[in-house]
Amino acid sequence: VGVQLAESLDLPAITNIEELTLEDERNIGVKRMLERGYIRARLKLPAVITVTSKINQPRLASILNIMAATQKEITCWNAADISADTGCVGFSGSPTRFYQMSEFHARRQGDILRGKPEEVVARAIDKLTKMGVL
Amino acid sequence: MSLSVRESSGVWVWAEHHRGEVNRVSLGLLVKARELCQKLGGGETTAVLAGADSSKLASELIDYGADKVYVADDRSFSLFDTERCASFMTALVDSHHPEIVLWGGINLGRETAARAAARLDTGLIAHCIDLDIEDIDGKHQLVAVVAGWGGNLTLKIICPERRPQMATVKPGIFPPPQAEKRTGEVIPVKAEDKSSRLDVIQVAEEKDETSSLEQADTVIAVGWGMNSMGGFTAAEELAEVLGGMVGGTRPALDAGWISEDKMIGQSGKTASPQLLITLGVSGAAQFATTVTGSGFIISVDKNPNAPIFEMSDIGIVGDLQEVLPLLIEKIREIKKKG
Repeated sequence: VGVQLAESLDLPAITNIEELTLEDERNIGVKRMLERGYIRARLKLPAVITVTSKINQPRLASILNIMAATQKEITCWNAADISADTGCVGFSGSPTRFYQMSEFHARRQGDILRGKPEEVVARAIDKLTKMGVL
Repeated sequence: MSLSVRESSGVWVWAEHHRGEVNRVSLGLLVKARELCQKLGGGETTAVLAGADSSKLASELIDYGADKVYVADDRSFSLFDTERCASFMTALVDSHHPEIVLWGGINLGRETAARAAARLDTGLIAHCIDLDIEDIDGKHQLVAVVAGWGGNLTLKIICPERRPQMATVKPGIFPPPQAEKRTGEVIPVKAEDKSSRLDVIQVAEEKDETSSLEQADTVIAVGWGMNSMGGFTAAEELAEVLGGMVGGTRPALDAGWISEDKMIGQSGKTASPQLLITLGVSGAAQFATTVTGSGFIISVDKNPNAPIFEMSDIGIVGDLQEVLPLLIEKIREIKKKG
C-alpha cells in the first residue's frame, strides 16, 4: 500500500525500515531490512516510508490518558468526504476480486500413534526406517 | 495503459539475483511459468534480468524454463532501486504485452511489483501460495491462491479485466527442480537512464548461514507446546542429530526461542523440507499452509485433537518430556550405525 500510494503521489518510497534519522531538512537516512542483512540509504523529502515493528518501542499508555481518550472525538471520513473517485476505491475499484473461497485442508494419510512413550517411539522409528526417511 | 485481454500473451518472471546468483524463488517461478503457459495453450515463458553483470545469468534462466530473456546488463542498475526496476519493467511490459507477470515475494521483489502494478494500472495478488489457470467467464485466467483470515481459509483471486495479471509468490512455495540444459534467446535491452531518488550508502549482509530455512532438507519446527520442556534446547539437539535446522511458530518467536528469520507461517517463512518434525505445534492453518510442500511430516503433541495430526504422515500423541528424549536417543543410534 505504501509504495502504491507513493506511486500515485510521485514520491520516492522505501519499505521495511527499521531505523530512521532526519539528516537535515531535505533528507532522511534509513536502514532498510532485507532477507539477510540491510542497506543504509538516503532519500529526499517528502517521501513515503513504511516501517517494521522494530522502529520504536511504544510507551505504555497511562490510565489517565486511556480515560481521556474515551472522551475524545473521532472523525471518520468516507470516500465521499475526501472527494475520492468511487470507481477507484473499495471492492468496485479493485482490479482483483475474490473468485472462490474454501476451507483450508492439508490432509495426509497419517498414522496416529498413541500409547506408552517407549512403544510409540519404537513404532515411529520402525516406520521411518522402513519408509527410508531416516 | 492497461491492455485488453486479447492482445496479451506469455508468462513473464522478474528474475531476482544477488552477488551473481539467481534467487531460487525466481528459478522455481520459471518452472511454474512454463506450466502456466502450457495451460494457457501456448505462449512464451520470458525472464527479465537487470543489473551489473546480469547477462551471465541468462543461460541458467533458460535452463529453468525461459524461452526468452530480456537483459539490461547495466553497471548503474541496482536492484535496490526498485523505482528504476519498476520503470524498466513497465516499459518492457508496455511494449510486449505479457498475459501474466510473476515476482518473487522477497523484500525487493514485492516493492518492485507494487510499483509496477501502480504504473501499469493493473492488479497485484500478493503472497500467493499457489497459481493455476482456470476457465472463468469463457476465458483462461490466472487463479492465484492466497491464505486469508489467519490462514483458516484459502481464497482464489483473479484479475478479470486488467492486464498483465500479476502475482508475488512466497519463497519455498515452488522449489525449483533439477534444471535441464535448454536453448533460448537472450535479448539485450537498454534501460532508460533515470536519476535515482534513492542514494544507497551501505550494503551490509548478515553472516551467510550455509542454508536458509526455505532450503533446508530437514526442519524441526517448535511450537508453544515446547513450553513444557522449558524451551527449545532439546529441539536443537534433535536438529543436530539429523543435520537439520530449527524453526518455529509465532508463539515460539514470541517466547524468544527462535529469531524472526526462523519463523514458519503466513507472516514468516515457507518450509518444504524432505523431513519436517513438529514439536508441540498445534497446526493452526497459518502454520499449516506454509509447510504443505514438505516431503514427510512427523508430529509430536500431547493434544490428540490437534489439527497438526491431520496433516502428518506420522503423529505421536504424547508428552514431549517423555517422547522427545527417546526420539533423539533412537535416531542417534540409527545415525551411528549409519
